[in-house]
Amino acid sequence: MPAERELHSPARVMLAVGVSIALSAVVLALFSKDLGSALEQFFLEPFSNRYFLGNYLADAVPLMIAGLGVLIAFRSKNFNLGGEGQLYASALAAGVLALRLPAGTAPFAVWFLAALTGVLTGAAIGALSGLLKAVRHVSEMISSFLVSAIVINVSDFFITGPLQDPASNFQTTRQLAPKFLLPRILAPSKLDISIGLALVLIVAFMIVDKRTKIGFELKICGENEEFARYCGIPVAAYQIAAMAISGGMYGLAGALLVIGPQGRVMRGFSSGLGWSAISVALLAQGSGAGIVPAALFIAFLGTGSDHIMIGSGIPSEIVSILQAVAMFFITARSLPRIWKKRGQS
Amino acid sequence: MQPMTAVRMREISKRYLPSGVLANDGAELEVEQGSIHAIVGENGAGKTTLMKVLAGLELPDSGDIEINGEPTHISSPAHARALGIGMVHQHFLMFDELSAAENIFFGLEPVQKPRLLRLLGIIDSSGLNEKAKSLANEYGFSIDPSAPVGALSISTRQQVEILRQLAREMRILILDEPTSVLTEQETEALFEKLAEIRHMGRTILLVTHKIDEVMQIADKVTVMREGKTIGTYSVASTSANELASIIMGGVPSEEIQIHKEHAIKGASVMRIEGLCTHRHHRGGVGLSEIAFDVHAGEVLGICALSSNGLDELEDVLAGFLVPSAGRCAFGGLHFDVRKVHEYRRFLKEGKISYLPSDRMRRAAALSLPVRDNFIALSRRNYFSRGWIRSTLARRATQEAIHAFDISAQPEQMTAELSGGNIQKLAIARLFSKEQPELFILCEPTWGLDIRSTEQVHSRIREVQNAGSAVLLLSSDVDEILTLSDRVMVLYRGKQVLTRENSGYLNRALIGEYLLGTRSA
Repeated sequence: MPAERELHSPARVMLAVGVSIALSAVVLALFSKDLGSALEQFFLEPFSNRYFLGNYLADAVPLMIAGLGVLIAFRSKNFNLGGEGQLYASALAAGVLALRLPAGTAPFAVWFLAALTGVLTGAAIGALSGLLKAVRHVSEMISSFLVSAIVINVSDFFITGPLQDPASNFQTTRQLAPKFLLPRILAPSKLDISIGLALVLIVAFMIVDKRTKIGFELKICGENEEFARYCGIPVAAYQIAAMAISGGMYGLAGALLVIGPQGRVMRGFSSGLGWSAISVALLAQGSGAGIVPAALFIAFLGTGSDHIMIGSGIPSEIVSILQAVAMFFITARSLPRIWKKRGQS
Repeated sequence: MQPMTAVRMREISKRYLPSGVLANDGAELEVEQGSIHAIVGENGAGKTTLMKVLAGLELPDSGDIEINGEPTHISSPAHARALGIGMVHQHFLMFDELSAAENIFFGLEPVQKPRLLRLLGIIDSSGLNEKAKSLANEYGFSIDPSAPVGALSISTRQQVEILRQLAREMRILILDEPTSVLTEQETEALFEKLAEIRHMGRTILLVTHKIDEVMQIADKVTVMREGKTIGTYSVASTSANELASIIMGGVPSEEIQIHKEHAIKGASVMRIEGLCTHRHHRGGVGLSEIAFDVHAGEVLGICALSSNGLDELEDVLAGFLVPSAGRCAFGGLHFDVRKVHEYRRFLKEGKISYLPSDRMRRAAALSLPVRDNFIALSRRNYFSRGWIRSTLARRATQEAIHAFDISAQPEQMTAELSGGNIQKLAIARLFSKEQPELFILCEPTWGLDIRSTEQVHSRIREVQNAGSAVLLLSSDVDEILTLSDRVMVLYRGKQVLTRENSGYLNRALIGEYLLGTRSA
């Protein structure tokens, strides 16, 4: 039991981050012709100018929002593995709505309605798994994953079929009107004002978690379900709610991408985001405040990798290895114990 | 010839972080080989921590350990096992879905004889059951090796756990409060088996609260208080009274009054009729046609040996188990007991206060702080319009810790508390709420030391005098006789005795009903 808590030690996470960065450098050394410039492209270029920095931060925004959703589900010991589908389908729903709204609609109304559509779509898909768990005792991990697989294919059908932009060579919907997109900051980068919303949501979660009855009851449900029932907490309701919130956050992340950097719904645009959000939640170690550095780190791995891919011609497979190494170290649970034993002998 | 020293622990200190509680403070222990050595002390005296250090479950901050004369540093449970040290926990750690034999030989399973099957590691399950049976017979245990452990009674689960250690050739067995979950007859049976194990040259360390058990079975006894060793005494040359005063640190214990004075009986608070449950819930017998009522200011004691229906009755009264038939009257309402949500409302509204017998599983969230566990049951009081009142919550927790003499801090992780302190926390939480019409108290003094038990008993009398009705579900006959106005006994799920607790009832008579040798 005391050993259980060592998992949450910030030192362990820092160690994992450090080791994974060091190993990334090793992999780079093995595969790049010019190690010096590869290292520079990987570690420094994302921060080197306004454009790169803005794009890097923009990549972190959906990770923060979706990662927070995963964290809330974790808090109640629910595992939402359907993020990919929730994000993709919600993005599509939000995109369709924004495309259908009359051209004269106020931009603010478009943003609000699109975000709301995204949240509701994601929440409905997530709640389905929560409901199945509460009523039929179906594992929410399996049902959310399977539902997501279905939803992705259905969305693909719509994007490449009835909603395909006839003027485009890509498999994508039509482009949204520019005035319907979120205002950019750090132009010409793709960073927009949604980063503010992400930070507000994180702070709101921290307050709810620490100071409110809902946060308290959610925590009890996650720690010991039988005890929660003894305390008269409606466990089933919290199960459904946690999955709905988690799905809703994925949905919000998807909707914000469509009315932000993407401007349309392209086939497979979300690929990997759902899983990266789980990495963010794991890395944050259950802490709301931890979401920000965790999302920045995961986004950094992606951005840095893109830079060396373009700059040094290192294949994307190698880049995937870098990310896998990082995740491996972060999720490795035996690390602190081995470390501890070394210290003693 | 000088007997060999099996265990020698010197100057063992252990501080739990981050709360900084000093659980062991220079504790000492010396145990002779082939003896039964008891370790006694109040809740939170550091007994369990010292044993966890010996079993490799906790690393001490400082101190030396010698096993069979060899200085050693026990770094893990695996290391302790390699040294022949095994621990039977107070709360068994087993695979509920696996059979008794599979639990006993987990990791040591005999594989099939044919070469191909052996290479594949296919387990020879009939051989496994055979082996378990012969091991059990060797020590005089009687278990069904093929039964899933989750369906067994607590005492049988304990036997499985002990056999598991014996199967691993453990030379030093640690038993942490083994009798706290057993009835008198089961305790007798266990002690016979422990004597048998000692006879075969093994060493037994017995952590307990009960002085009569020490006098009955142990060769030597070590007394601990506040993390320190007070002394080690030979049981043959000390008396129970002497030992009690050493444990209590010279504080005289209050007299326990057996037959109590009868309180004035008030109006009926709850009436149950024709209560039945399906069999097989928790592997139990199922209840049939249970009927009772309990009045304001009255304690109704309900007693049964394990697997005779007490667990089912608790779960029904807790709103965790939907009965198959029965009617209930409470708070002016009459309803079918199958409508569980109707009943649960009374628990939720605080008209009924319930103390679970399984404190680890049902009464605590171990990885949350003590404060959170304390306020969890009366969230109405500690949250105002959905926002926490932290100062109030902390102060109330602190007050309860003080009033119930719990060794804990509000911010401390509950998992760090000893079993007794977690129980006291659960009791403090219940008695700090506004007074309900009915208390349902299940095994309220399980694993508590003498002083805490007396405290709890006097609290129960207080609420009774203040007009609450009390249902006391307990397998401890002394407790039932001490507190109850009326006594009810369950045997195989049937109600075999319901009677006023007058001079007529005594331990022996109740024992006969409990064992089914006498019936109504």
